[in-house]
Amino acid sequence: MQQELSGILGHIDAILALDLDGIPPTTHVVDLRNVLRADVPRQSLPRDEALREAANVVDDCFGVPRMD
Amino acid sequence: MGLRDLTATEQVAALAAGETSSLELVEAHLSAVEADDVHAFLAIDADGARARARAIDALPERPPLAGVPIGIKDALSTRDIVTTSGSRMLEGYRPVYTATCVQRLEDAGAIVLGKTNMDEFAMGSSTENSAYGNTLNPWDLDRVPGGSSGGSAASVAQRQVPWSLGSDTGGSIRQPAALCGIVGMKPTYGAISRYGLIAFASSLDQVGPLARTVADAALLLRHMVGRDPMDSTSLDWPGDIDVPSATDLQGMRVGVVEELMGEGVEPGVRLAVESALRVAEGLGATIVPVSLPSTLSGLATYYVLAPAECSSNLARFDGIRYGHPLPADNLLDQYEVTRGDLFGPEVKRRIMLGTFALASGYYDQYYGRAQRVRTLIVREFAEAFAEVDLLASPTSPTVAFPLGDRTADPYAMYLADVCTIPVSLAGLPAISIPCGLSDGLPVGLQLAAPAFAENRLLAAAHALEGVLEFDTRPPGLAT
Amino acid sequence: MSAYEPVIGVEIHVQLSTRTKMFCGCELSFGDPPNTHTCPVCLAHPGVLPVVNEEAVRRAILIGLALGCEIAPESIFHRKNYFYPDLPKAYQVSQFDIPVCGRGEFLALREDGSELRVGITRAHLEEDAAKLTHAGGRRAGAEQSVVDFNRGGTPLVEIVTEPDLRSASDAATFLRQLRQTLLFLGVSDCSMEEGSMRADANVSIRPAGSHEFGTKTELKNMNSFRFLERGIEAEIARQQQILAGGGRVSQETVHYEPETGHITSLRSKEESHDYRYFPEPDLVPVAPDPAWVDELRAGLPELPGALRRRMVSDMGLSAEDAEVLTEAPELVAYFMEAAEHADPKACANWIRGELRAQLRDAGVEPWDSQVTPGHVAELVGLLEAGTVTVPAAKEVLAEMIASGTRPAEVVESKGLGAMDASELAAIVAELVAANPDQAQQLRDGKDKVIGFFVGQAMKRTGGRADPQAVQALVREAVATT
Repeated sequence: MQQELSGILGHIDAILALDLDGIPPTTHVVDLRNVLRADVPRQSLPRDEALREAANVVDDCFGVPRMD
Repeated sequence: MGLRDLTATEQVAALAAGETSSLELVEAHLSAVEADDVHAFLAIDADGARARARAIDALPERPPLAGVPIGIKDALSTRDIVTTSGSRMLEGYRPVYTATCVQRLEDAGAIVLGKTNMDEFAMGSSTENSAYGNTLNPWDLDRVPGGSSGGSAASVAQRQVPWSLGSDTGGSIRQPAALCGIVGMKPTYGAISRYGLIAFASSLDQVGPLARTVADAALLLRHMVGRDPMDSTSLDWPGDIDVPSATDLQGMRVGVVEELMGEGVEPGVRLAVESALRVAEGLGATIVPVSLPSTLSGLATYYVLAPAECSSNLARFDGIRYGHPLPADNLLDQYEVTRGDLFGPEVKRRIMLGTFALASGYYDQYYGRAQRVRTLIVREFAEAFAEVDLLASPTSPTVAFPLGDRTADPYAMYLADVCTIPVSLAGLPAISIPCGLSDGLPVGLQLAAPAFAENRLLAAAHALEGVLEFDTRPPGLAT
Repeated sequence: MSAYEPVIGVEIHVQLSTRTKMFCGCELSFGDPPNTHTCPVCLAHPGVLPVVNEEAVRRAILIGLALGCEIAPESIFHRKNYFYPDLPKAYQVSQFDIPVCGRGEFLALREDGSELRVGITRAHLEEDAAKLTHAGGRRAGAEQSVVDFNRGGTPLVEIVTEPDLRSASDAATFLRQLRQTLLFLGVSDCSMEEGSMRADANVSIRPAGSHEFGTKTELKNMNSFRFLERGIEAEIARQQQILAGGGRVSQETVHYEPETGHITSLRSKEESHDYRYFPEPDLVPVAPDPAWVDELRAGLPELPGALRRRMVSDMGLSAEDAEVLTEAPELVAYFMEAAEHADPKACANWIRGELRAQLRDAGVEPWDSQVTPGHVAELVGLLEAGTVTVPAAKEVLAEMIASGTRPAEVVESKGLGAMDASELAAIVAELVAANPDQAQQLRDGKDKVIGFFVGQAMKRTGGRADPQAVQALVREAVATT
């Protein structure tokens, strides 16, 4: 895995060589602003559906193993 | 000519004319799907499909897509139908909601037959990264169908469904379409809602159609585009997607991307593409060479940006809310064991690359720079489209390669997307149409257009398709 | 120990009281059964996407305007990546280098009336984590933990101050008054106890007069202003002790235990975390229309800071009066109305004192009681005119509370009017004559005996005598007898 990653990085390093002076980054290719949602409630999932796909349900909550 | 040889458009017409019923169509396609000869499908919803077919057949008026069956890439959420994104991490996962684009097609009358195979989490160019086995190329069962939408492409080529949905991040619709000899299209970024598409690289992912004809692809597109309140990056679509009818390319200026016609492209592929371009000339197009130097940095840029975004998008898979965590003593072990075991090697490679590219101390050098190269690429395309109406190149530098050929060298696999990636980075629409054969295997021609110029793109592709007359029936497919 | 100067900055997380979550339409709730307000988005199912709550943006801008912050013409969201079970996406959508609100300043008033200026570095929008509970109540040693996602996705505004605070008490003063401002804006319930307002303090010390910063620690998870103040004091003391002993303060997260007064280190794995911030690709920039921002600015209510300053400088109230009266918008409004018709200082005393005290048993606030601000003003007027004495006024107030009757009417109907001066003098003379021993003691200098006479006078007059006047009359009577 390490070898493969180093190999890939070697190819990617090509971009380090480019002259990017004064070129701003592109975060979005769509030119949108202010896409907002009205503060109006939308139906939540029934609880059994919310929990349906969980492997470990405890007291209607999602169970998490020992954390320490 | 069986029912499955009809294009989707023809099936819609046949249904409208009462020549067949949706149930009959569904049964005809199900039998091919269930034969599983190219392992294109994962989950198959036979009962659900039949029930929907009966319901649609009973309606007083047929909805626009009339009850024609479709295959859906397993990266798209379909309520209650197992959705795995080609990964063991989501083995048995049944979504509690349906992706907007799929819902729109279902509302228009399309019938989901099942979910198609893919490279795990859409990362790959051959579908060999699927955790559920390889999909075979209908043109040669020892070769790859391409990826990551390999199942979607193979199922259409094999005529198990007349059309399917795929997703394209760096070429994952177009490249398998090219390798399987069918049509595949990636629309303008934002055209189709991503809500419900299991995310790989958010700023690049797009859903798109795979079909045997350009008109079919256009028809699917027509029913999917437009703003979705559940996706902040989706666009209000100006006007409609037209079903194309053009028969010539009069007045079209087509730029051939020099950097994508040189070494690295198989001679047979180049020949087929050049020949198609002469046909285009014959239809009235002016072919001019165009240079897009930053195309050469596209691969590197993509392999920084996409892994970075995916490293974040895939972090949610911890086995707590869905999926099955592997047994572990404590939370940290659970994260490690579950993710270590249930993600395949390519996914892990990209997560690690991506984490590195975003790491403090490396961000500016990698992610930061990649974003800026992306700007260069966007600008270069804009400049090019000031001079030409369309850009042309091969879709894939090679025809379908043998299974197992590139699995040992990730970078060799990455090269498969060198022609398709730049357009993805720029967020522009592009289509692949089959334009010829090389050593008996399909070659795809990629056409790209400016943002929102889908109609122009589809019209040109349709006109060219009409004259190229490529036979999409794989030789091995029984009539 | 005063060789060291504390340097304190605060980070406040304010839960906005919008109807729905920051990025999805699930309703905000408090105390509902677990996992009953969730959806694929806030559960971070595969394939979901966030959509920004427009009311959260409006409230964030209101907060920024109230703090005098620059409102960014365009701000974007970032992903803050880390693994934790209460963070379903394994990243928090927040804002990094381009927040919705930039630099501002908050002007607080100390108890002694002096100004406390606190620089605001920024205020930004983000989403709250879910609720993680550990079996047995503490993470350490818990066999199992569970997550309730009802809270996950609640809109938060994070306010960050400059390290301008120089004492724990200033930090507490600042936070109390900031909270009042937020309450006045109506953007949040601002309850430290319920968790809708949370404050962490960054504490460091440096030699007095130095301009360099010492190593700072982060004091987290305090759920009341009192504990916060004590916690900061304890941390300052701890750091002073370390430096005095020749040691160095380590940068870490610490926790104050109110029961023991101890500071413990929470050295957790998140310490040196690299959050790998990058711009959120699923959200587009927020660019508030300048005209709309102007409208919001113009529509701001008069805020507690300005109100307090007005009360102190124009109305003669003490800083403490002002802080108490600006605890709630309704209280200020009540007071202001009363103060329009009678002496503000007296109104303030009666409202924050006797009125609230008498209403406390019923658990009612002045503005919900039968006593109108006008009535209060009238009572104050009667007192000033000498028509009632203070003790009588208290009785009148009790009746006002019970029946909602105007004070003048109560005085009339209950005969609580202040005693006529000559009538009082006659009564005093009688009392002095009837109690020669006490009168003699007073003559002999035993001044405490005056209380006996005042008591007797109050009994005789049914509280209608003014104690001060009684005292004066008694002394005179005793002196002249």
